[in-house]
Amino acid sequence: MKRYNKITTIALAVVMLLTGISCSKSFFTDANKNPNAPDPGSIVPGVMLSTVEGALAYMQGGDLSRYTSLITQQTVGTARQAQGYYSYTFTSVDFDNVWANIYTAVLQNNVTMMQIADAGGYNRYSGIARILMAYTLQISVDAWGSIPYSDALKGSSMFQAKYDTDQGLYDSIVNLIDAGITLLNNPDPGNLIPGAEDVLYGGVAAKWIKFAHAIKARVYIHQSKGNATMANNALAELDLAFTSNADNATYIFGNTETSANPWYQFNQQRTDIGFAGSTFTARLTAANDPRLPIFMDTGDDLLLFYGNINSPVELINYDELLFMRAEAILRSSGNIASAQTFYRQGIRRNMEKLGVAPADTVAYLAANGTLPGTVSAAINKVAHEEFTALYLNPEAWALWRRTGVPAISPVTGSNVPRRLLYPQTEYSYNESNTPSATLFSPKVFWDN
Amino acid sequence: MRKILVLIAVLTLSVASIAQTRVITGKVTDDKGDPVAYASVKIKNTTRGVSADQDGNFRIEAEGRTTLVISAANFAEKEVVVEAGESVANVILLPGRPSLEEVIVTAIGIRRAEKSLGYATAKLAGNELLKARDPNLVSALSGKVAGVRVTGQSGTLGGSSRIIIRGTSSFDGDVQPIFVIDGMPIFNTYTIGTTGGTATGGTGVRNNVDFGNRAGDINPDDIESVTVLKGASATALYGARAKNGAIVITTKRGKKGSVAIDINSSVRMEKPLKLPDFQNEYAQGTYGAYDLKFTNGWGPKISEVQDLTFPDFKGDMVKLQAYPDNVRDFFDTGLSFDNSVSFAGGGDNSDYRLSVSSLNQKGIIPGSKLDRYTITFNSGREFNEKLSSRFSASYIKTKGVGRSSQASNNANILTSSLYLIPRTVDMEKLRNNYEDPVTGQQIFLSTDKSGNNPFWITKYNKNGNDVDRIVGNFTMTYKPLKWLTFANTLGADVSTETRFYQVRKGTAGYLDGEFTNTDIFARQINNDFLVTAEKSVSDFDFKLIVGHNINDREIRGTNVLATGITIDQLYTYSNAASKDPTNQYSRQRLIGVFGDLGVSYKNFAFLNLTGRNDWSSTLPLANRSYFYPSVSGSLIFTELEAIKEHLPWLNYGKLRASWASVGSDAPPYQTIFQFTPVTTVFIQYISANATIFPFAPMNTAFSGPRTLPNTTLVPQRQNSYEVGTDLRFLNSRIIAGFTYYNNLTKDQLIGITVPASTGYFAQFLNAGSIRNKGIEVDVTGTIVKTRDITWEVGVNFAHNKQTVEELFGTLQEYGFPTGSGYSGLFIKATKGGQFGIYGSVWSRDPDGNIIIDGTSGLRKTVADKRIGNVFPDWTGGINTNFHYKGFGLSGLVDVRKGGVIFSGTVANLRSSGLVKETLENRDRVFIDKGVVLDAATNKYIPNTVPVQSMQDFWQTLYGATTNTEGTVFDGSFAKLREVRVSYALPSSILKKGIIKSCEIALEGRNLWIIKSYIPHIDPEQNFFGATGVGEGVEFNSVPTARSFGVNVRLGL
Repeated sequence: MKRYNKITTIALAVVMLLTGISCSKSFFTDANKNPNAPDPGSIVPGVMLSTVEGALAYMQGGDLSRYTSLITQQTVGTARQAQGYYSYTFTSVDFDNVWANIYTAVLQNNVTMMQIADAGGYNRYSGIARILMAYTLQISVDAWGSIPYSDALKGSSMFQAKYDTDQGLYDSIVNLIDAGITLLNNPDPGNLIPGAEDVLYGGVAAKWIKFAHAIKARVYIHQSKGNATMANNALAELDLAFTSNADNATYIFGNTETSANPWYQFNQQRTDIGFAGSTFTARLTAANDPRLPIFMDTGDDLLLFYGNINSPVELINYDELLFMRAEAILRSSGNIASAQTFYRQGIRRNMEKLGVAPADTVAYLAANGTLPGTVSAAINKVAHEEFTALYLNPEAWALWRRTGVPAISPVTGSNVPRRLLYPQTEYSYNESNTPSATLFSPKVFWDN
Repeated sequence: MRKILVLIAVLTLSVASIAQTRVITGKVTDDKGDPVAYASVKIKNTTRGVSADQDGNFRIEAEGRTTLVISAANFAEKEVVVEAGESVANVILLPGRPSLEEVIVTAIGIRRAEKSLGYATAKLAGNELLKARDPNLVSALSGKVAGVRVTGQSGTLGGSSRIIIRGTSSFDGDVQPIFVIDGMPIFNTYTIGTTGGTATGGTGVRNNVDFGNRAGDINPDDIESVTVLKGASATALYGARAKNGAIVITTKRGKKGSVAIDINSSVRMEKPLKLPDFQNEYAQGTYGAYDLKFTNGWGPKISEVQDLTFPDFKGDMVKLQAYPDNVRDFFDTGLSFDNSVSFAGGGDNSDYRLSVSSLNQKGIIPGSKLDRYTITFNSGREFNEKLSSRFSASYIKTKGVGRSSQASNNANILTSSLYLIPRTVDMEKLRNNYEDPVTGQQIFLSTDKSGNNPFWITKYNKNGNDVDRIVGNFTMTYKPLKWLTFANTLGADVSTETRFYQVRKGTAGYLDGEFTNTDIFARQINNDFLVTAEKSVSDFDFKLIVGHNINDREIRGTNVLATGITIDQLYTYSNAASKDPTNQYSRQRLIGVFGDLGVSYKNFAFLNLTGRNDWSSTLPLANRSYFYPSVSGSLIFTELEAIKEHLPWLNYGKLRASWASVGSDAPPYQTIFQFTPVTTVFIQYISANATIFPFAPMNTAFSGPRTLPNTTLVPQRQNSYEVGTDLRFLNSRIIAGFTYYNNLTKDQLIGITVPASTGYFAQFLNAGSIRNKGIEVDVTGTIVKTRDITWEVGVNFAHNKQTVEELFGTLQEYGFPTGSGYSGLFIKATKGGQFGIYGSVWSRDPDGNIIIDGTSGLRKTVADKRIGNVFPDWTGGINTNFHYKGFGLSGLVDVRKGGVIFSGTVANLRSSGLVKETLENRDRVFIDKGVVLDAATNKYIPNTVPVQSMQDFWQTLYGATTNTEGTVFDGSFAKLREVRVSYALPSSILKKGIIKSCEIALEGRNLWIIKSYIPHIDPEQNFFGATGVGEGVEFNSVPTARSFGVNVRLGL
């Protein structure tokens, strides 16, 4: 009997021990804490800024650049999906990816950074976040028109975001920029200034402020067709924007396969998009443009300046602003001589940036540096040069929609897309709010 | 854990007992007086037993009045009572099936009499798995059990198999049953959902490479039996982890009183089972003009250009000629050697079994190899009447090389590189010219270097994995009183796996070369403590089990992607320009307490109640505890006098019914807002599961989650009931089982897609319910039974109907990501229906005529329409066993009816103009049958517009990226799965030698696709891998093989 008592005691002890484990809280909480994930409280805005800038540059230089350059025939689709896009065969599904990247990778991370920065009094980050938000909205509105913003990026508290009007969003962009500039001019009570993690500007507030004005200038120039006030607004912003190529908003990719420029990555994986066969290339060849061999190797159909492993993705450049200024002058005062100064500077700064030999620049300007005598012809010529300077930049498509330059003859049908389709995910999961749209209508509000 | 071990050790030492014993001797014979060799003689209700010798003589020690249980293959089991004073027991066995008293291993290793179970189970003897065996245990189950559906994923050597029991009940990937070996749950698949990307282990297709499922590590030679627990009532005690059923494996043990050495050896050859039906009339090019740039069949008609020469891929000017077997010639003859040796034996108080096995396979794809070695040890010891222990462990080494990439968006995919070779390419010339002998550069097939030479891929771009794994457990059983047992089983499954992908410099798509190494460590520790009390009160027998379970699963991974190789073919980190390491981690813990009360009345009416409460680490604190009950009962109605009297031909009849409600937890880390480190990888298409996107030259960067976490998750629920009957007629000549089941899985834990404008892809929440109901029928009949001849035929049939009853809120559809490369192809769960394939379909007028475009003459399409169900209407198997004296013949046919399959491979073959059907109409004007909209009348009129070119027709309407309907097929098939012809040498010949038994067999597996509706490919391939929820999509799968060979089994 004694032995049984002993055994019963041991058995009971085992049961109690096991039960003890089940009652211990840390047995679970330890297990449900991922040792590889940081504590949310430990996230500083700097680690988010890298993410937002990288995602933005990758999105713009990736899907958006491919779609818009195929639409504007800066490139040629030769196989698979790209071949369809080149003849303007897009479906809503094709935009799921780029749309999701904009809203999740870029904007949601940007909102998170903004919240952390605002809470910590990190005014530099708060200002940058607003300017990045404004830029992303600008390129998105120009692609889709009305998009969700005031209801968007609210996670589970708002699943069905309404679509804000494109015109209203342009106001929001201006407000974001103004708020951002104010924050950048304020002292930084949180005493946290971005450094190398800010790939665009290394945390320099003055450059961010110039970039902010450049975005605003774009917003106004888009609306300047037949609207001298808007042209004058653009001129006012341009006074405060970039003053040299050193101010360019350029995201430079890395030297490794995994941090490579998106065009480089795409061309490594696929040969679906060609460059040498485009109407863009034909035009540069005809004009004997010295930039052509810098842009591409037409023999092997390789993209060069924008297609190397560490090639830049350019958001806004000084050369674009100079062409913009020429256009704004033409639209407001019609002063062709004044416009020509900036037009020539635009070509120079662009060629400088691309590393064209000075003699070639001089020769090109001698042949192409004079604006014609009528305002409309002058705008046309400025736009042609700006279109070249905006090679592979989605802004080139906005330029075409505003000026009709250069003329595009579609591969099939007679219409060139004026906007992108809303993604299938919005039609599937936010059906009641998502407007119907084709590639041709409704147009973005400034596109008339 | 250490404390438990100490206590177990203490338990082990605190025992001693002595009993009065005597020796019982006897002889086992059949009804004609011939000895029955090696019959098993056991003392009832103990684990003690011996084997009779070859003359039927046995000797066993027992105390007091003893009941012996004697059994042998092909004889009915018999019980003999030996009174206290007696010491001789001669036994006559009658031919027949194993007894109705058959014991089934149920959840947590609890053994129960088959007749007491209130739910359907299926038990397969280990031998069944060895017939024309498949090295993968899961594949070996195919067609053998009603309601268990096995699908191979690819022809990759050591590739994975997916197993679904009673339909897919879940929206997430967790649809596979739990695998349990001797009470120890093991990993079949593992997923790390973590920071910096998701790594999946053993899930089949990841990075489009099939790495196999880890249950495939088990050596089928070590398996004594497999029990398939199908429903929630059967698995209720396992709880959450077994919501998709359980595969309970019992390994072989040494038999007491005998020494046995078994040798089982097979040599098999493999050939491709099905290759595309190619055309052999047209060369490569475009619109009839020869062009090296295109690897297709849209060039000139070969017979019409015989007076000309053209450059081939090497630049030689040649006269065009079709090579009808060029693709077939690419493949090698596969060869596999499967050997196993086991040593088993035991004394009165202990037994042991040691087995060693090797599997060495060389696949049909050049350079593909699989080697698996296992060592398994199983030993038990009865220290005395009260205390016993058992230890079993397996070490497994699996190494596979040459696992080809599949699917799309990868220049390294073998199937498309191979199948799309122009018909005019001489495979021998290609084999000798894939690498420039001087420069070492690849010789490409097309001038634009868009695809890779298949020989280059198989020679230089190898993917593989290397698994080292130990699975083991230790059980102590202590029986202080006759009615009371304590048992504790502690086990572990620990494995490390290294995966590698290598891409040589100069490979299209990866010109700089790259490699990826993934190291995965997976560990599962499980402890079950059970107290069992048994008591009889008059006609009632009670059995109460109270138990406790601890389960801890931890998976760690490191993934390093290295790109930019400097020195060719040196795959070291220091030789790579950039290295991107990622950490992966996942851990979850579960604690459960459970009880199980069984009551039986006069051994013919049974009632069982179970309850279990789990605490899971993956749920929010407030909701982490959940309880689930089950109740089941059975009635052996043939024990009733009235039935016995009126239905004498019904020798056994059982009615069974059960109900269960089972809860389950979430994957780890779904309740916390997690920031994840941003790594870089080119990922053109992203989904809710991807946490990666590229960024640049950089510092540390973090991103918020893509799926919104949820702090209010509650456990998922599965409510189910089943009813059924098991019947035996005409002295068990006909055995039949019928089951109806109905399962509702609700409050599912899924990431519901939200509009990206919320800033997220998905939110994790409790939503959706899926009902699966169906019937299962098993019938086995012994058609002929004489002294020399037996012939049995068995049929199983299962029908399952899945209905998505609810999604989230007003949501009508839930889409599963399929990846890219498809023309808007989706797998979707639709409210009120089954999971279906959606995509673009032919546009039809109200009368159902296909609408043709009035300009191009091509069919018009509309996007996002349902094309068909993913899952079959029914599945079944027919097996037969025929024996004449020592000769045996067995076969198995597997049948699937219904469901559809999209084939990307077929789409590629057709749009490239390489297969037979694309020959039609090439030489003439083709006007497609359909209607065009007449602009004048706005009515549909018959089409008269010709197709411009058949190249346009096939490329536009049948391309993988252009249209879905054209490449969706009925997924029904019938396959001859197994055939085995054997001859066992009669014992009269063997009597004198050391060989006790010897059987020689010819066998074959996957021999013949009897019927299939899919051209060019094996219908049993799937892109999604074993854990994916999706089915019905194939894309560039590695072709499957048929195998045949010789098997020899020796018993020493």
